[in-house]
Amino acid sequence: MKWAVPALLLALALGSALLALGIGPVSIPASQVFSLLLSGGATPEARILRELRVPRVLAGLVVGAGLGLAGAVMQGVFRNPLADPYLLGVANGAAAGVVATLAFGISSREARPAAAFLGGVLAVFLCWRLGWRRRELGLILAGIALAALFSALTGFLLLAFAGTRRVEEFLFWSMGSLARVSWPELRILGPTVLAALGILLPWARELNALALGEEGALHLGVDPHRARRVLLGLSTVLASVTVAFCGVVAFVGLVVPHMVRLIVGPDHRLVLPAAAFTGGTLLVWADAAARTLRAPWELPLGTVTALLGAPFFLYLLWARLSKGL
Amino acid sequence: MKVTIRSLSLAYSLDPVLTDVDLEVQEEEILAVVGPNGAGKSTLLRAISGALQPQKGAIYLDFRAVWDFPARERAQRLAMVEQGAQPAFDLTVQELVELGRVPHLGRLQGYRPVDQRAVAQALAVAGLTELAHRRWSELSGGERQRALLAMAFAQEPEILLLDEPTAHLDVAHQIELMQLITKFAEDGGTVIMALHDLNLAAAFAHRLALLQRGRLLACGAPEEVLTPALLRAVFGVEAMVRTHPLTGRVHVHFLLNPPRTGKKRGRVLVIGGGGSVEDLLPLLAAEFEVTLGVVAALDSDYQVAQALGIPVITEAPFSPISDAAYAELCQSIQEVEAVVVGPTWFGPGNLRALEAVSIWAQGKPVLVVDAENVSARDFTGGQATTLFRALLAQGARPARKKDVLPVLSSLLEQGTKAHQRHSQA
Repeated sequence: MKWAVPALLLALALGSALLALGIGPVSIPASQVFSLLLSGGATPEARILRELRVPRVLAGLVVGAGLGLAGAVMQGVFRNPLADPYLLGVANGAAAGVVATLAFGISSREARPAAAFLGGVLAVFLCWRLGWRRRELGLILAGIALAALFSALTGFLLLAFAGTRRVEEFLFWSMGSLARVSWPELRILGPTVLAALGILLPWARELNALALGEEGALHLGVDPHRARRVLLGLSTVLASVTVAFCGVVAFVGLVVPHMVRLIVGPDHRLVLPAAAFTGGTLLVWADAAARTLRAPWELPLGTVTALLGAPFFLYLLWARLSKGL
Repeated sequence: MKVTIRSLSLAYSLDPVLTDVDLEVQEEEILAVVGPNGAGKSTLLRAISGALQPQKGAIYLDFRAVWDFPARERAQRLAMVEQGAQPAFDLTVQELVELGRVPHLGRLQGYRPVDQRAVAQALAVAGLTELAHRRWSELSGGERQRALLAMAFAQEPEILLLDEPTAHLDVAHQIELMQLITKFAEDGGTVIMALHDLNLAAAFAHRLALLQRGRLLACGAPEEVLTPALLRAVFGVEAMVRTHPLTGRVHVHFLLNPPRTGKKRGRVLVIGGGGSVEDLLPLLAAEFEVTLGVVAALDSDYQVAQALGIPVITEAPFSPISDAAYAELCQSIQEVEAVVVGPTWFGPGNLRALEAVSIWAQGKPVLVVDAENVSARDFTGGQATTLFRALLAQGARPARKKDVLPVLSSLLEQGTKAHQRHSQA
């Protein structure tokens, strides 16, 4: 019975994906989507579907799921409703990596995501080494400091070595987009996110226990240090891999866990799958909006998610404050 | 499960917090750890729970060291209610209590019927069944404390550690909580709790462990640990320890105006008995060298005087004042600077005390407390009332209880001045 809500959210995500397939600069009626996909014809519509829409919608599902999961994990580990997947500097580290490739003129297809991924992981790794005794506050403060450091590095590299066109390219990357995701990228993104979901679900118990703090978790038989290592590790991989391929997508990781807890409550055994499915749904629609609102141009995905996410987050804040929490 | 602590020493960085603590707690026993702030009570509990590693010594649950338990196995046997614990999310009571089953569940296991039973029972025991779906943010302080205790009960532990479980609770909830803990111990559990409230500790714990700056100063039955000397040494307060007439447990009364050890302002004899001056004695003893006049041993005034270290002229219970006691009384009246007649009851047995005052206290300040209603306390057929009138006629000052100290002070001061004028002349 408890699982009905996550199941419903999964159905919603899949249904959204099907609908979103028809949406774009070339609109394809929903009734034709199925037959076009199955027939395997060579009409322009069929090719657009197979080669552009399907990978893109799948990317929306997968990236949204990854960010939703990472956000839920971060908020659980840090016992803080303001935590998001980029808390420990993933976005800034990845940005520095991307700018490095631009500045040094490395332009192979694999270079940029690889550099972004490594930058993101490096930021969290440094955070982990520097964060005082790995307590929550120490980690958060180290994250803030490192984020500033990486931003400074990014700005420096950008101005010193990259031309105007590169700056534009970086700017677009930094606001997020699913446009660059095609089948090869999906072959990495998809399995990574699915595997992370599979590994995280059995750790929901630990996340629940961590809600009582480090010692509270210990008294429930959970080793808080080990749990934090595993959980932060997985969340970092998720955040870094999505940033690597899609840039910085704001607010999804912050808002989705809140929305989900409103629906299923605070039990992480339900929150984690629900956050994955809701994140997927949200991003599929956000991307559909990004590619249609100002067609033939695309809006950066991060601006759409921020436009949707920020007011919702403000509403949550307001509701909480008025409840005196 | 038995808890054994052997020469435990623990320091945060280099500051020693616990030094050479030895303790044993049996099954069905409640041990209360008491002591001033910063004595190491919480640290001791956290060490027993396995959250802190000591530098020296060992802690055993039955015969296995705490640190040899895998965290999960330990949590199946030992539960701790932390002080001021607070879940990060706005959980319902039910969800919080369900967390207590975490140590019993496998990774992907849902709640089994046995878990649901444990949760339901923990909720029922803590009286929270009706509040099961209330959110943490909607609970009062007492309900939160009970919810945390219910979570610990849901763990079905054999050892229960509690850090200040009654903080922020009103009296009724304190008692209710203590009864839950007592029940847990009666069912075979081992309880170790840190408590500020010495009287609550004395009322519900079988043994008390008194910590001071990380050392175990005393451990034993409440009456062995809560002695005025130990309380003075550890807390720096003056206290009176008496056995509570109903519960038979010791009870500590803190003296707000403790007797000054310095120079006293004179000697005063107090006529009391039947508990009529038990509140007056600590006040007077703070300022004067007090003697209590003819009361029976075991009289409650006698016990207060004993606790305050006041000398007492005693008589056997239910016996009239003997000649020996009368002589002692008269001697004392001549030695003191003032006499206070307390609002006690007069019968044939102690009427001689009034006679002694009327004869031997002439020319000295005499204070008569609540003189106007003496007839209500007169069981001598009017003789006591007559003696009272005579005392007042001789210049005795009537006073209410609350005025005794200032009136007595001013009387004695006038006396001293008159004496000085006399000697100058």
